[in-house]
Amino acid sequence: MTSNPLTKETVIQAKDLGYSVAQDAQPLIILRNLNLSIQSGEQVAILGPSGAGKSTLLALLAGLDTPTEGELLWRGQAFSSLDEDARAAVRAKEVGFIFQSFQLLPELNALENVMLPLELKGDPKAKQQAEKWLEKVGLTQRAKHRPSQLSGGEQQRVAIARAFVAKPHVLFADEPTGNLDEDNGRKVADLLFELKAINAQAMTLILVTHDRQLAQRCQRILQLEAGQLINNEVN
Amino acid sequence: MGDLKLTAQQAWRGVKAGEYHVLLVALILAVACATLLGVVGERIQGALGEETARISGGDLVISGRQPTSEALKESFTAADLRWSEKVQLTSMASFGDEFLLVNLNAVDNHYPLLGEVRLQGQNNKTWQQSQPPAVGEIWVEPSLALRLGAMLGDTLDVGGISFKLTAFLLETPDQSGGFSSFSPKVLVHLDSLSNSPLLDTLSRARWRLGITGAAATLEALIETLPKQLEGHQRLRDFKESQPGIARAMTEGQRYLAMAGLVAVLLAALAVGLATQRQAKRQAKEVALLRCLGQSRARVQKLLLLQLFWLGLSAGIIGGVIGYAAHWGLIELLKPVLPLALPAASLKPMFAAIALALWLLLGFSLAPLLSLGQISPLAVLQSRPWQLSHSAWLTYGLAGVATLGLGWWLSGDWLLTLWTLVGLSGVGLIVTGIGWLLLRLLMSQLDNLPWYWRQGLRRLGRNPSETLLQLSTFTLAFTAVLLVGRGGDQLMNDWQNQLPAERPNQFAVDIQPYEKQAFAAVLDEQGLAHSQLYPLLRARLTHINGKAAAEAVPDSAASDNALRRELNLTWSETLPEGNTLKAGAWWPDLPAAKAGVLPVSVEADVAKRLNLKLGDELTFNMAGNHLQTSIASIREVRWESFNPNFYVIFPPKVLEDQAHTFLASFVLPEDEAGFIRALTQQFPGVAFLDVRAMLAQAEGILRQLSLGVQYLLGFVLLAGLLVTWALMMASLDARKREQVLLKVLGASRRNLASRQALEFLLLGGLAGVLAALLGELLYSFIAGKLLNLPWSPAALFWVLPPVIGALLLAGFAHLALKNALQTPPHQLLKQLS
Repeated sequence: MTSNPLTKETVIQAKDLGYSVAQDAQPLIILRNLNLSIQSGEQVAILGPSGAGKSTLLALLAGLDTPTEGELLWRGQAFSSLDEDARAAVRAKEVGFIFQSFQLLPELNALENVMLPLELKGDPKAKQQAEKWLEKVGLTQRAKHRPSQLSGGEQQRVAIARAFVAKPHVLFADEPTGNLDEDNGRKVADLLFELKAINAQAMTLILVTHDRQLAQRCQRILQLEAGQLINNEVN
Repeated sequence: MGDLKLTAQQAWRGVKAGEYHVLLVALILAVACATLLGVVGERIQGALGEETARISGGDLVISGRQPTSEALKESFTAADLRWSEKVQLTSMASFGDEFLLVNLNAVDNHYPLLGEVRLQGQNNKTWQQSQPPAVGEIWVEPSLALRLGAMLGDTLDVGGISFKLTAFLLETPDQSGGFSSFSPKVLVHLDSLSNSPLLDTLSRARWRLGITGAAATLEALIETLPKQLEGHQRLRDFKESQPGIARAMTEGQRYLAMAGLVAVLLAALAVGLATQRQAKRQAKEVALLRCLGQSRARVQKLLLLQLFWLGLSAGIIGGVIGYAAHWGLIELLKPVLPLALPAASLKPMFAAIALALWLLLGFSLAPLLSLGQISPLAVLQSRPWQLSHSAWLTYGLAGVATLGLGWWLSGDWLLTLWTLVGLSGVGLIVTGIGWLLLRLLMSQLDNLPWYWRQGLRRLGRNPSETLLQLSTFTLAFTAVLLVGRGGDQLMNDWQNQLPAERPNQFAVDIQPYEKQAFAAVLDEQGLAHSQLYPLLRARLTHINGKAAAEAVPDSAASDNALRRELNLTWSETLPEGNTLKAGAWWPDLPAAKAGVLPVSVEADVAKRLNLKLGDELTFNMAGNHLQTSIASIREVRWESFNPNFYVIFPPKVLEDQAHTFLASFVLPEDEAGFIRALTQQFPGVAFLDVRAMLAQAEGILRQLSLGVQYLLGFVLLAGLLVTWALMMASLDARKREQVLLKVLGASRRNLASRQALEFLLLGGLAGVLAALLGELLYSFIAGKLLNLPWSPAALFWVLPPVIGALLLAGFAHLALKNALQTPPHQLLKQLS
């Protein structure tokens, strides 16, 4: 898949998307009949109460799971019908992630964690790039520290550096401030939007949150409730 | 009662949710192994005991120059013991003009006390019976009848008494006497000898009273009986008359104990590993209970009770499996078991439950106590809670549990300590080597490709976890290797002791002038035979100038070596199957005093009589006093079934003394007629057929070999279980990594390669270390514990690294297969 950052194109399109899990005789429906499209460079927040299906929707959009109903298109091509390895290849090339619980590998230091996506691509300049991004998130001094030696805010900054280092076209952030206190949460959010604005204007940001204030910083808010899209508002 | 029910429900829920699978399987295997070992050990030990008792003529045998007093016999009867008395002496048998020395055995009505006599009658019909010959009847070995020219129904004369030959004696259950008496055996009823001068007070007859009965009564009797015996009497040990079989049995039993011990220890290690993982997984639950207002003491009590339920269940299930597995082994051994096995008791079943609880407490108490320390705050923290139990407490308790376990299973402190010291030593050495290797590899990290880097980082950044894994894998592999190596060599050793072409006939009383001709006949017939050894008889009278009986330790005062004439020989070279333990063989000897002859003494007799190099021994040989000095001490492999001697002289010095020659040879099954021809050509030569004795020995060794293989299966299973438990212990962390790497775009192939590399490296390294250390340890154990000579075995060096690497990579693939296949989103949910 290729992209042209200068023209707005539909990156992701969901058609009648649904997701359910088998539970005893009755399937448990988590998402139903979702239709949406996201343009390149757009910042989209998915907002909703707990259990609304926000994280599941993010997982489906990122190809971390496959929908049980409907279709998901990436740049017009069917994404959900690809096998796991093909989807992994798309993720390696196009996608970055930031998680609520940071998800850093405990045995790697900060620098190595940031290098990881580039190493997976076989980039020979992984180390230099990672060092650069660690500098951008203000953690040069902590490069050799392992996650257990970092605070929550620092860990999330490492995770942000890891997400940006591979220059993804789409960045998924799942409650990126959910595990942080208000002050640290605000700093991390500022960093996220600042980095996007300076370094990755063409990058699409899809952010899951239940924090309306954070969602307001995005261009568009998709509101979910009980697995259905009830609002699609533009800020 | 409420807590009991509550914890039973919690434990059951945990089992249903799959929380306790590894722990339970490990515990069940440990208990099953121990139960199997207990039940089979008890029953086979009993059977082997019976077999050896049968060979000896009783569980206990009183040997003396006079019959045992009636009062003593009555006391045995009163104690519900069965007994049978017989007398053995050498006498002259005659038929017509033929005269031959025979080994006369006169037995009472209770004969045979154990087992049956195998006889041959008219038309070569054979049968077995458990009654003695009638008064006035005689049973003789077929070779004797052949030499005398007697037929069934003829009247033979033995010691001046006439007997009617009613059957040929093929086999008696009591084979005691072994090679000490080379004359053919005849069996008569004791009452046939009443009033005979054969049994007068000056007779050289040996009386033997065999006793059997309940084990407990016999045990008690061993303590009290020696005090009740007269001066000429002693309690005999079957080991004296069957040294080869006894050694094989001792080795075999020690080996079985070691194999069983290793299996249970490995399974116990798996219990320990599984418990650690369990404790980590329960940390949140415990923190929640503390949040809900439960006191530390109550939380610990609830955890203890849960453990109790798990231990109880595993004990019962493991006990039943072990009990059932023992039937499998018994079925396997059935064709070679000589006697019905004694019934299995239910004792090991109760022991199984106690064992499960003991293991759980030993390996789980420390993590459990540390769980009680968890702060309720942990529930609010997303990081995994670090358990902070004291290493001393953890390892101390595990050590105590293991020591107790070892002693319980083997009843042998020495064996337990050596096994534990060996395994701990291996652990420490492996940790050291592993640490050095890790440092070396980590220093080269930047020069390696991606999955090498990833795999190595995983290993190198968690050195404590990696080294624990490496040493545990190495320990498990080493243990399996030790058992496999030991079993292999033990069985080879036994096979070598009983080679296919082993001597099964002894020829004695070959006169010097017949020596060349006799050897020539054997050679012409193409029969493999030993060299012809000169045979002389002499009595050991003095040791270092003191009367022999006074010079030896009290325990040896009535030793056979002092009480009767010894068979001596001379030889220029060290006989086959003999190894020099101390001193030198002629002619490389230091100069001796004039008139003092150097001799070589067998190691066991030297040990019993406390003889050392340089001790002076005086022998009475047909009235001549020979002054000798011990020039060497030899170890003799009695099980070679070659002629062996307690004392060997140098050549030439005794050639003028009266002597005959002795040889052993291999007679094929279908050449029985050859003995008839030999008898006719050499009428003065006596033949001793040891085939029956060999068959008995083979039976016992085959039993032990099968037991070894069966137990080896359990050791392998335990080794695999430890590997699996260790894999499971790090499963959650590995799954987390897998999912993250997948999210970041790693393909399954990439992940599988990284994972395979990590485990190939770990397994290969553990295999190399296990091969090295196993071999070192085995060379030590073989000599110290199993009395086996060490010899290199290339297969045991090559296989461990290959199998280790493939096994770990295979296990890792199985354990993490689901994580590779499951969509990352679902896996993330499972892990959180």
